[in-house]
Amino acid sequence: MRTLATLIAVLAAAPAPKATATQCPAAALVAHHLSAGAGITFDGHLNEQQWLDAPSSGAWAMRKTGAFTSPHTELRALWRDDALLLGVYGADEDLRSSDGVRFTVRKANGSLLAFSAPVFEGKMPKGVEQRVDPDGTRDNPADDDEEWAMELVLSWKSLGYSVPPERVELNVERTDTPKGTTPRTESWVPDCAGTLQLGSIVLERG
Amino acid sequence: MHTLRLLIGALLVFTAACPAPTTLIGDDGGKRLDASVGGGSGGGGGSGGGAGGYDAGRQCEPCMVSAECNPSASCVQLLGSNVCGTRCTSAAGCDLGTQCLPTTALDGTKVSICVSPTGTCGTAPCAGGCGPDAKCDMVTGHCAPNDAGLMPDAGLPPSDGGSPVGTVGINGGSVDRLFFAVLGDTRPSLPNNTSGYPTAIITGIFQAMQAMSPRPQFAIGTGDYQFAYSSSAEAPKQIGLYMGARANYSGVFFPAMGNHECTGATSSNCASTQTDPFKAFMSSMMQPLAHTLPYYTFDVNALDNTWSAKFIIAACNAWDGTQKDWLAAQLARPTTFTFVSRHEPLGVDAPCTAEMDALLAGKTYTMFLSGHSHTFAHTNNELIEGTAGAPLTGNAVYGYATIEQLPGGSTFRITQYDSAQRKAVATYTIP
Repeated sequence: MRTLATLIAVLAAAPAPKATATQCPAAALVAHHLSAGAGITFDGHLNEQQWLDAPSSGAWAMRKTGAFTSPHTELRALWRDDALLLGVYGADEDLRSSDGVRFTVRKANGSLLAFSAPVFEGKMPKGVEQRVDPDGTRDNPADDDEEWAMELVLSWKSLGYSVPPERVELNVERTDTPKGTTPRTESWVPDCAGTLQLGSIVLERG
Repeated sequence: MHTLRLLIGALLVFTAACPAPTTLIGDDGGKRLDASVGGGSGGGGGSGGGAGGYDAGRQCEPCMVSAECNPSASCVQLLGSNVCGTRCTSAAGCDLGTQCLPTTALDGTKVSICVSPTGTCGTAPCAGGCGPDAKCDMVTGHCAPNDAGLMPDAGLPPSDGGSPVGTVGINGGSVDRLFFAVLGDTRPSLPNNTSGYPTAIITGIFQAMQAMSPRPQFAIGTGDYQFAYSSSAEAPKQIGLYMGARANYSGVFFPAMGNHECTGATSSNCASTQTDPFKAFMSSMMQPLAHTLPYYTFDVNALDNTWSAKFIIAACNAWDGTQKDWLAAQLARPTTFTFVSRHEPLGVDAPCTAEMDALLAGKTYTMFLSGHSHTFAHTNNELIEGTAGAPLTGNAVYGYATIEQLPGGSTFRITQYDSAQRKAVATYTIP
């Protein structure tokens, strides 16, 4: 324990790193505002017009390499006065209990909120709600599944905001095991120089 | 322990409180690196539907038109492949060691793009390595997933023994050897999202089929050409986009019905109900073939009458007793070869599978052609072909397959093509 504490102390006391030649590309996604009374049924289906109109991240890439990959995954975002709404779509030929999406979100105080949301729903942190629409059978590799869609509501309060911010920094990673292969992790924002990156959800106003 | 938590918390707050560029702690042993994140870039433009800034899928990646690329890139031809090349005005705009070379984009625009000394798009090929999951594509310079199914002869054109001859029309035909294409699953990821329809991908597939030499005599669709609600004006729009793409191919197109031609649910059955997707399928895809039912058959025979082949196109999501009796009669009809196609693979829980799979279990058939899974896969004589634009699963790329009867008559070669690169990515033979 003493060694670990020493290590942390040394790390904290280290001088701020200088800018390196590595310029990591930025990623941003616009979130449309949902007016009061806008009808989004919280059921995991991304079928309301607001979701269809929401800008999409497009296909994700392998987290470690940035290479094009399959299965296909997309991220969309909306926001209300009380919460950020995230919609994730995942093509999936073999739905498994172990399949999941990991969210890393920067809170108002700068700390990171990280949690995993399984595609068959699970316990979420306080202030986060999840609904999933799985299209396929659970843990049956003998048949062929199609996809799943996930809705996530993160209250501004859970992120430490008293009012909605201008933007939220986050990344989303998905781990999946296509049939006959080993698990692979893809993400909205691929790693840069070996480091996990956060993209920006820009809250559109007016 | 409490002290440790405080220390870690303080460290995270300290890290986060640093001014931009944002510094994150990586998962590589705590190494700290600069990372400019967000920074006001992005904001809804671009072909990706709103993702601004970096889009890993559109830089040095396959393309058909420049609109598919990042705003700072154009679709150009490099080493015989179409990729999104980063535009530049001088070498200063390119990474160290690369050149800014003039070229002509596919839309005819004069541009200059960054090219490595080896001709690879962008910087040095796969700088940093690809890891065990991928290999380096020397055209794009990007890592690409390993293809475990790649066979030694992948990449070779499927033409042993000369080009097949003969013709096939909507009622079948006669040829010296069978050579046809199979493609399936073309739809957006979300229902009614016609703006997200993969028009460029399916257009590229039909154009690639048309450009083949020899050209496939006909094509079979394994289903799912839309994703629209049961009552929706988007259904005919999406089918219209598909048929617009299909017009790039001059051969006859024989489509099977998918679950998305009913309600979208795999269990849906349109034998006695007519949804808007079903109506759009029937009017735009079946009517040109002069069929009033979503299931049908056609024969293709040898020019010298040495063999015969029947193609049975079943409609699993319009299943009833009438189709079951029809299928039993068709399977009983004697032919040298029997190709059966439906949307759902064997064993998937759909309206027809219990009865149809039982019928098939007692028969010998040459190949079973299906889709539904958005991938390319094969087991014994079953081919799953679902890579024509729907969100991909498995370890696949967008494309189509060809099935070629090899000289001698009884062996068939199946070849899977990457339509953007216009190259074979896997091939195998049966039996």
